[in-house]
Amino acid sequence: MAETDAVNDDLLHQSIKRKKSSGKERQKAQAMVTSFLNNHLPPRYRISNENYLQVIQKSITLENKGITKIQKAKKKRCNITPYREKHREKLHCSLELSQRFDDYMPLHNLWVDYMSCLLNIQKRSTTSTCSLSKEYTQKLLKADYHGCWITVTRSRCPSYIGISGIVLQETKNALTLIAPSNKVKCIPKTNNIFTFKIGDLVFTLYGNQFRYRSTDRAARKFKLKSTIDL
Amino acid sequence: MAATTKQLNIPNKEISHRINFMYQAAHTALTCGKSQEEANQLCRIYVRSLRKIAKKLVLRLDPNIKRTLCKKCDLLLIPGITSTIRHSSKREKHVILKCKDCATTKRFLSRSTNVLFTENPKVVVS
Ligand SMILES: [Zn+2]
Repeated sequence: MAETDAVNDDLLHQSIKRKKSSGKERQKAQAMVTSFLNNHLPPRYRISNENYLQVIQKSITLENKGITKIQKAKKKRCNITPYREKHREKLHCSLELSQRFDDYMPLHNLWVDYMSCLLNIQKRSTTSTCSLSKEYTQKLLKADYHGCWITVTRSRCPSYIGISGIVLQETKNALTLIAPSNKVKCIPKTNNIFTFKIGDLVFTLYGNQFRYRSTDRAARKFKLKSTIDL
Repeated sequence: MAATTKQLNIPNKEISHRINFMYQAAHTALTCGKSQEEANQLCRIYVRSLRKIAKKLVLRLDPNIKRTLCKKCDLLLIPGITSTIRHSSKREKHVILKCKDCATTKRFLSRSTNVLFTENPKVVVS
């Protein structure tokens, strides 16, 4: 290819130089030049036999199919982004929808141990529950709910009511539960009221007031608010 | 981190309790799930939130915990299951812990004089 290109280039120059050369040669050269240009120029510069001289007078850079140094550098740089995206994908991974409920019982047992230890349930005798409630709310706000057996008791959407399962994942606006029927369900926190039970105590979580990331809750300071909704 | 709560007045006691729980939850999460890949996903979720909590409250994870977490994909590194462990004496003698999922390596020098800062009696304030 390179050799023929060189020859064509020569012809092109010659044809421009010898405008007054003989007709046959000129026609030959014209045909060659046009075919060459049509092969190598981008489509918008495609030309016919008549206007080829006009086009030639413009300066057009022919495509170089080899990789230049700049392109090489760009390629190297490009390699970084997909890797980062991959990493990010992994970060925001969601759970698969085919799980077995029984596998998660150990997680639940672990959580029960953790929670009863956190709330000191065994030490507390059944005295005034009102004094305890303030202490508990602060603790519950900073507690972790992965592995908790939770039930939706009240909701604006009636189909959510009665769903119960083990919490697998907690995000800002939703809880992912696994139900005993081996189904993974994603339940929004808004307008839902959840309950869970430890020993004899039953706690209720108001979803609307609970709409923080589970990691943010640990560091945040909360104000007590009264609720009117629902 | 504060797994043994000997002292009564530990700052952020609940948080350390929580981190302890999450670390154990990550261990149990690895054992459940249909396939290893799914188990890994759940494990990652827990380890990630563990890291975030510690970062938010500017708590330093104990090196013994930190060394079992993958730096890149937040997986719990258990030799044989999610990581491979090799001994190498090519440069200085060291141990290589390699994540099976993302192939990130951790290297720990096996110097006899090396002491972790938490085990160093000079650093610990009584
Ligand atoms: Zn990894």
